[in-house]
Amino acid sequence: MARPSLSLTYLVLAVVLAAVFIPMSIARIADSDEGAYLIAAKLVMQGKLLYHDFSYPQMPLLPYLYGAWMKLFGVSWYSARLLSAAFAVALGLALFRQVLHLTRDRRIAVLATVAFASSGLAAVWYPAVKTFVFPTLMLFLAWAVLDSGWQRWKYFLSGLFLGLAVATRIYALVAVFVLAIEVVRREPGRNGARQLGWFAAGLGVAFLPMLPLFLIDPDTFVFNVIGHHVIRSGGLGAVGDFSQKVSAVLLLLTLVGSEGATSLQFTILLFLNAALGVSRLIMRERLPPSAPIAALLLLVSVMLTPTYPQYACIPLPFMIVNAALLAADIVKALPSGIAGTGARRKLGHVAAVLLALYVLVVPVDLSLFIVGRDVPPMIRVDDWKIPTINRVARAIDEAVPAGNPVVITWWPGYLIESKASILPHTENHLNLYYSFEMSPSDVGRYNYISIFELIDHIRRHKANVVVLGLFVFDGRPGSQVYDGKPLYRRLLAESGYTLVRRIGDTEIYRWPGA
Amino acid sequence: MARRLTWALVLSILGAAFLPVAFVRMVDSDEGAFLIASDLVLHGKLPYHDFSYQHTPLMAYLYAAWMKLFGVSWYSGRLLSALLAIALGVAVYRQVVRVTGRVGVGLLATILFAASGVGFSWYPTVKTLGLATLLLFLSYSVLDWGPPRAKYFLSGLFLGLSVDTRIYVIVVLLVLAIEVVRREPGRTGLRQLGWLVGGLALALAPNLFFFLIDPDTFVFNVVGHHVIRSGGVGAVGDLWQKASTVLLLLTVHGSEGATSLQFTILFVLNLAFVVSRLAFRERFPPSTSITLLLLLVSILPTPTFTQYVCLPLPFMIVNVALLIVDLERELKAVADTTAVRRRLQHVLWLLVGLYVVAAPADLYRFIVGWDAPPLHHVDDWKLPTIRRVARAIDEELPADNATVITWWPGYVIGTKASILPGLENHLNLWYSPALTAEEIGRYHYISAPALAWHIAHHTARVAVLGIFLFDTKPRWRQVLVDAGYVMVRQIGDTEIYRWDRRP
Repeated sequence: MARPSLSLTYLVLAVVLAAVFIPMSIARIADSDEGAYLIAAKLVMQGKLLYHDFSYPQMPLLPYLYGAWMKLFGVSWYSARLLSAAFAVALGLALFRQVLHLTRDRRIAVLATVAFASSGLAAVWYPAVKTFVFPTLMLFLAWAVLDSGWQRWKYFLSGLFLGLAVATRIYALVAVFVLAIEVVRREPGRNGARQLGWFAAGLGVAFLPMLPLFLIDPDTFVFNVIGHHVIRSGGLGAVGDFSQKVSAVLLLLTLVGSEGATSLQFTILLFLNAALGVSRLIMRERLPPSAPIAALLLLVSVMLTPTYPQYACIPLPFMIVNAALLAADIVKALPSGIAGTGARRKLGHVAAVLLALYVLVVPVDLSLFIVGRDVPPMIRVDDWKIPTINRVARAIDEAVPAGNPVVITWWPGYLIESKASILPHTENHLNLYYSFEMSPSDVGRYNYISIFELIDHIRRHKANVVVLGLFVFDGRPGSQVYDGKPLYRRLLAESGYTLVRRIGDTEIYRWPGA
Repeated sequence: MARRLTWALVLSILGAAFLPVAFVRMVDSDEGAFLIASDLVLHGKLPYHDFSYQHTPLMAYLYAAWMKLFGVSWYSGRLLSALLAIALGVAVYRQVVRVTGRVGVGLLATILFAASGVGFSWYPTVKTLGLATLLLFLSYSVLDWGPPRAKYFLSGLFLGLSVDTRIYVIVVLLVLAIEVVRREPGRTGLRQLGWLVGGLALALAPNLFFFLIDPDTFVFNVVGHHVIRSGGVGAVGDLWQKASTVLLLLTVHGSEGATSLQFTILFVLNLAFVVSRLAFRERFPPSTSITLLLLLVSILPTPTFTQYVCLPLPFMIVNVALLIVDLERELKAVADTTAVRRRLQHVLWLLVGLYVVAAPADLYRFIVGWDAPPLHHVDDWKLPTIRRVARAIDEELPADNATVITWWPGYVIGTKASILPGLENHLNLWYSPALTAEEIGRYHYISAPALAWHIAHHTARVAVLGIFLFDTKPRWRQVLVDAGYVMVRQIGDTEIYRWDRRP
């Protein structure tokens, strides 16, 4: 039977990838961080400056990228999600191309892409508006471009892509060691130094736009990008709380509970990656750059406090490439021809069952993030669905008076599709809670908000409309989380606000004016 | 010499896995009921007819005989379980060496068996799991090593003894019967099938005694009890609970420590073995069909527990060994396979490494454990605590009344006390609402009002308010206090109450 052309294979894979990521981007329940990323993108479109006009706890590229996209295609949850889905499809195709290039085996490349599309980590986290899919795509391209035919530009482009990844999520910088070593390995002698220069130049070009944001006030920039992550650990430091890290790792390895399909799939990939590493080391063969990149990314993902399993979506494509390389190593070691058929088939059966298990478990994750499940009394899944969030946005618009578009909300996601503007310093849903860890002067300097300020704003009717919905706690979210709604409900009533709408568990209050 | 060394290695691996766990593992709530049943049998009581007992009767008698020789104690009972587990491990090693012709693969199977969380966590307990699995495995393996004239009879006998311990393993009869007919075609097959059935019948014959005394009581204990424990959804109802357990075992809906990951690894390899044999149109070994049937029947009882998969475990390991030699055979057919062999060895050893390295997660779970306040304190489930309670019971027991009220019978093991009739099984009280008053009496269960009556009338002078009370502890505490019982000792969360006649 004739093999389909490569273009057709790309087309079919693009359809398969789109069939996973586009529906997920539409149907996935909102992640709390998405509200902050989207409001940041909306605010930069309105001319506000990251860090200095409002807090933003990551490197700056994502709001500008999504801001530009939404300028073209409209400010909406679905528009932004669609961009994330497009990045995910591009990443899947880049993975196919890279595996094909490294293994010269189209079957393995196709199967690797299928595994990618079936990964819970990818299906669930890439379509979200977070700093996952774009830096992963850039990071992957930074490595893959080294194998491209663009002899003159590839090192510059590698540095540029890496820089863009770092400009979105700072810890992607760990890959710089691996890529720099790879450049030197490929170009020995003086040429290597020159190419390393091109690589550094690319990195520099990507970093350049960040310089003004840094120079305006270096301390504010550094606090947002790094300091915020230090205080979020609740006083344990940026890399503290060892037991939480152990728990997260054991969770990913299915040994203390599991995260739906993600844990099993991750364990399978980790095992195959370890097997590639061991096998290549024993056979004294070179490890591909994807192996140390995956290892470094895993390490740095675990280092952050608190550690979340979702971080493993960044090393994911590298881990899949490594698994594909192991398969290719075994297939290549088998003598071709009739004699090898039996062994090939037997090994094929083992691989097929493993891949089938990998693919078949993913509906568990899809269901978890599309259908979800209520965790009474705090979490009602329907409140986290985009249609509900947009209904709240429309209700806000109906309630907001002409003279005062400011709205107080504990979660900024409600205001993405609304005409209202958010109360300054509440642009990030964590500002209020992390302010407990900051001095009053820091709270003001870094555009955070303290509970006293918020109460004051409510009492002084800074906003006519208040939305009591998601992410309302009566203290710092952590191991002991309590519903803060009763507290604020009382305060709102005392301040003269009345409940005008209720959508799911979200309450909209309005102060009629003096 | 090498052979002796290999055996020493096998026994060391198995001994190291099962003996320490037997002595330090936390108790499982069912163990109390199994041990008290053996104790009562030692005292001449009849299961089903003098007290309730929810399985076929062999285990109660076997452990009773053992404890007659080695003393009635938790450690004595556990030691027998550990020895049975070691015997099972030896049988697995022998069988794998026999079917693969490779000592190395046999050792690998022994390592997998010894490192299996579901194995070392459950076989050393005093439950029906270890004994039933050993006998079932022997009924299958004896077909390969038994004396030609007696092996079919022995196979039936072992299967029957296994059924005498845990009834649902009878499903394996189908596989064994087919295997007999396959091995002995024509009329010889029919004759050998007769021997298989003869062995089975001989092993099952003692059940007839218990059945004939009162068929309804026997059937209710062995079958009916398991129907009512499902909480009204039938013996095989509640599909969602079953699906959850399967997903739990496959690590995609939570996980059970190392058990889930190890089960998933074995499951994938077993599935690969089946697919491969199907694709090659090769015969399935009986271990495959037995695995399949046992997995299926393990899921059927409601509620389904993950521990049940320790029954198919040794068969799954045999299948994995067969997959390895299948692959090796195919590779041998190829001229130069050094590179691929080495690569596959790396993958295999890493897989075994992952399997073994995961095991401490289960050791921790069952030896150290963690509290789940306010109802579950790990220390209350440890043998030293339970023995301290037992000693305290003996100290508080008056000379004229040896009866003790306890919601969990395990405290009474090794004491001079006797348990209040009806409380021999910790579930009797909880399942009694599903029975009529007449059935409660007939089947030796006990209802909450009846227990309250006994407390009010001081049938026992000592009452132990310890584990397996859940959130009812405050209520029963009040009932005891209202009846004039006074707390005289507290060991961990376990309270010992005593009623003294007013002078």
